[in-house]
Amino acid sequence: MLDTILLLASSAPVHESTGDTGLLASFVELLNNFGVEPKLIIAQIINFILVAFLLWKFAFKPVMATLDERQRKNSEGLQFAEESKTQLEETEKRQAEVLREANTKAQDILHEARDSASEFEDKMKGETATQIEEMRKRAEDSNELERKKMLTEVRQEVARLVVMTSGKVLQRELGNDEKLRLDKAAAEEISQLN
Amino acid sequence: MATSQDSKLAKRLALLVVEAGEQGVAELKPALEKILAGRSAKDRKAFLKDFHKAAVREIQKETLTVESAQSLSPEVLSQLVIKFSEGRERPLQVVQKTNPELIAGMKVRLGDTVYDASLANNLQNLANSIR
Repeated sequence: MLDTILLLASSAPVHESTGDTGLLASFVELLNNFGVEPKLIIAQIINFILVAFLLWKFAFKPVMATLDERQRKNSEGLQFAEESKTQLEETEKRQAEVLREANTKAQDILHEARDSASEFEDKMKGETATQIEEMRKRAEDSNELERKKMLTEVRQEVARLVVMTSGKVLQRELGNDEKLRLDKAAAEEISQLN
Repeated sequence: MATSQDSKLAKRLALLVVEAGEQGVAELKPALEKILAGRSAKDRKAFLKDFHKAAVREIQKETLTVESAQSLSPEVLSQLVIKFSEGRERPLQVVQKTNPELIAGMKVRLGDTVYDASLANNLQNLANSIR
């Protein structure tokens, strides 16, 4: 547009005697040549301001408010997300700590259980060994008792047989003289006892 | 049932009868009738039972029972009677028995006391010592 104005200015005749007033008139003339009306310009400016005001008032301002609200919500969402992330990290930390503690406690319990099981096993082994030893001793005692009883029975039976056999042999083999001698000896023995 | 007093009375009566001998036996019947008069049948039976036991015991105290495998010679028997009569006022009644199971030797009983000097008893003692 400036190039067009310069072109028109260069093609127009020079009026040396008119000065600044002449320049303004030339300019107005130029505007008239282009169909520009100052009144219309002013009216358009007023229209523009009015439209701008209305747009500002009823369109741009609510949109900005909406944008601000959205921005605020986004900020709050971001903040909430940040806080959630922080809480999640803290929760994860606590969870990890709880897991570590639980793991430690589980290890302790496992060790205690192993120790207890080992002690119980040792105790049971000891008791079992004692019981086995007692049972063995009882069995030995029982065997010994049975053996002694059997020996006694054998001795008694042998003694009975010996006495019975001896009695029969003596009854058959002893002569009258020997019996008389034994009678005398018995009488002497009884006389001494009385 | 006989009381302790009845038992004592029965023992004393038995002792008196045995000590009195023939005369005691003769006087026994009226004495028993006097004692048993007025008693029940059960008490009579109990009294007579006690009397019998006591009489047997007293007779055994006065009886020397000699058991031997064969008949003893008079010498041996008189030796025993003399020995057991020592310190006694009345003579002992001697009962002689034969038991071949004694093999040899003898067994003498006076009252509750038994002296066994038989060969069978010696063998039995030997067998007992082995056990």
